[in-house]
Amino acid sequence: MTSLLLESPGGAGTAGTVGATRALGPVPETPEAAGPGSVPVALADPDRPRRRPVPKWLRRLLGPVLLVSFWQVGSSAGLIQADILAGPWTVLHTGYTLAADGTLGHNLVISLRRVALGLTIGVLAALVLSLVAGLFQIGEDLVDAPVQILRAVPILGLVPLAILWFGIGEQVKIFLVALGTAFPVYINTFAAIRGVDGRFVELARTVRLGRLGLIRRVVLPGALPGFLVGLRFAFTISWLVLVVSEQINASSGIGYLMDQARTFGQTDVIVVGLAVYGVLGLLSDALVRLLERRALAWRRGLEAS
Amino acid sequence: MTTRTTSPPPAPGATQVSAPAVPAPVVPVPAVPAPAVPAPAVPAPAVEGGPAVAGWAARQGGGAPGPAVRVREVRREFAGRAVLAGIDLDIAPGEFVALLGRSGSGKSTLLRILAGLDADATGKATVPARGAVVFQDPRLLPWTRVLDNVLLGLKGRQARAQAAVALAEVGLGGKERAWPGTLSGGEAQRAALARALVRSPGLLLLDEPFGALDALTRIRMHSLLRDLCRRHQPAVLLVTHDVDEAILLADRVAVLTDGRLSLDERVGLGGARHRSDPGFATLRTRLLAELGVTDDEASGAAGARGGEASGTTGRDAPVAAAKDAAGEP
Ligand SMILES: Nc1ncnc2c1ncn2[C@@H]1O[C@H](COP(=O)(O)OP(=O)(O)OP(=O)(O)O)[C@@H](O)[C@H]1O
Ligand SMILES: [Mg+2]
Repeated sequence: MTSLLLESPGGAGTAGTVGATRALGPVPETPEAAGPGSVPVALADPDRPRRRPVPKWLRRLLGPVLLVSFWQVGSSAGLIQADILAGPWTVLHTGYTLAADGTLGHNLVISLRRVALGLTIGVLAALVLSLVAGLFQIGEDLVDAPVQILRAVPILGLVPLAILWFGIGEQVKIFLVALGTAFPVYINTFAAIRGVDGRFVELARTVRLGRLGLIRRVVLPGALPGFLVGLRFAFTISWLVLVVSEQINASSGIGYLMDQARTFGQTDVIVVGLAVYGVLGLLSDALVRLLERRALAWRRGLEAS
Repeated sequence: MTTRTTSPPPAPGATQVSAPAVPAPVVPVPAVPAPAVPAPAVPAPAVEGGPAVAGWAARQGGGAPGPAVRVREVRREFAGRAVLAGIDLDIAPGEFVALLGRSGSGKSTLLRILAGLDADATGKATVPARGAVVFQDPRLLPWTRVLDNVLLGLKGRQARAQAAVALAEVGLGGKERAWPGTLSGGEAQRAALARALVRSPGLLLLDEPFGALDALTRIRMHSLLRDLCRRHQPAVLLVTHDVDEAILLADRVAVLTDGRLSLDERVGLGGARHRSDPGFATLRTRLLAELGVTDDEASGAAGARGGEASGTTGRDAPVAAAKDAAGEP
């Protein structure tokens, strides 16, 4: 995780006590510089004018910008038909129009609400189940085996059944999102609870923490990193499940917008929808990262040492 | 054979404990060959914390309270092999006992039994209600700040203040808010010691607490431990590989061989101990012999350094600098 890239304060490649030589290939002529069998070390010339490095983010932007340029050029030149893929400029324009007339905002709120509800329900249920299974043997026997079996079922395969159960209202989407997010959270949290270092459990006994104290002070914090990993998966999966379920049966939401656009061949609207999903995915990932940073501050301490 | 200087004769017929003795709880150690008729519980009159001022000599007197730790016929088997084959041990309140033994002889096993961490051992053991353990590793919760680690399991504002004092005592004042991961090995071990001491334990169990420390830190920890024990007066069981450490610190030294205490005797060297003391050398030779190290071997190990015995057995490397700390107050 941490990269060991050490730089001296004066900048990269400052000559050390060895002394800077330009000699790269042949052994230096000065006889006192090296004994037999010694090899010169390549060091930078301190007098060499140093170029200012291009910032990393700028370099990383290069690829995407090039890609979009090709896309735009291809669209303008008629190489990419609008009914195959609308050009970037058209997409931007459509995005602006959709945002301005409120269509985008309205459907976005609906989609967000579905994900938020589904995630909350799924994560909470998974937390409870993983705690029950992780802390009690009887809980593991009752909960873990069924969950592990159900896990093998692809969640989207449940769509027909879910429609039969819940119709095509809000409940189906929320149910599917909840179900899809519950598994990664459960599996990671359960494994993390079971992985809590037994030595800490012993410690808790010697300081007479009691069962609740053990859970609060040892098990939960110890399992937190695993839970957060599960949460990250859950965020990704929640959008995935939502996209599919909104495109299959819905009368609102970003996925519905995209599906409507499909029937009219509006590729620009579809790309706008994709972009929105992408941004939402990025944002939710950033959210989990932020959570991790705050909750796992002690780890940063470890890394810093 | 077992020479016991402090213990009263073993209570006859005390084979099983059915009810916790008050105030000393009985470590839940089921008796193996459970007698058909449950024998009555023997309440061991253990005193918590030890007398505040009473020195060792005073405790030895006739009116001394019963032992803080009382171990009878404790056995532990792993896969049919008896690692502990009937241990009898008494530790008086405030007494410092060092337990020596080869690696794998069962020292940690005994300590874990006394810490109440081994439910499968058999026999009978009574310990003070308040015990504290310092494990070989510092075992600080990495997600909990140092002060809260020291406080673990304690409540209240007063405990908080005491924890801060304990941290200062071990030289970690100012590290209260640090994450354990940022401490050095010695600092972490000292924090673990503070965590044990803030409980004012009646029994302090130390499992090679200084094994991983460098010689200099070890010397400092020795004198720290001595001071703290003088002040808090717990009964102490120190498991160690280091014969010198045992002689320097303990009132009594016991050696665990083949599942039994093959030697258990007082260290009659007085308060300020020095390695140059002839009594020191004699006792060390005896202990090393008991551990199966001949004088030749011992001096051979330290041959490069003037033929002086290393005083260390087991997996630990000899600690050279520790020698110079012998007379340290
Ligand atoms: N949980 C266990 N399962 C099986 N065997 C065990 C277990 N714990 C300890 N033993 C065995 O019991 C013996 C004594 O172990 P113990 O840890 O008490 O040794 P020790 O005297 O503390 O050794 P060291 O000085 O190396 O720490 C060893 O042979 C070990 O293999
Ligand atoms: Mg051990």
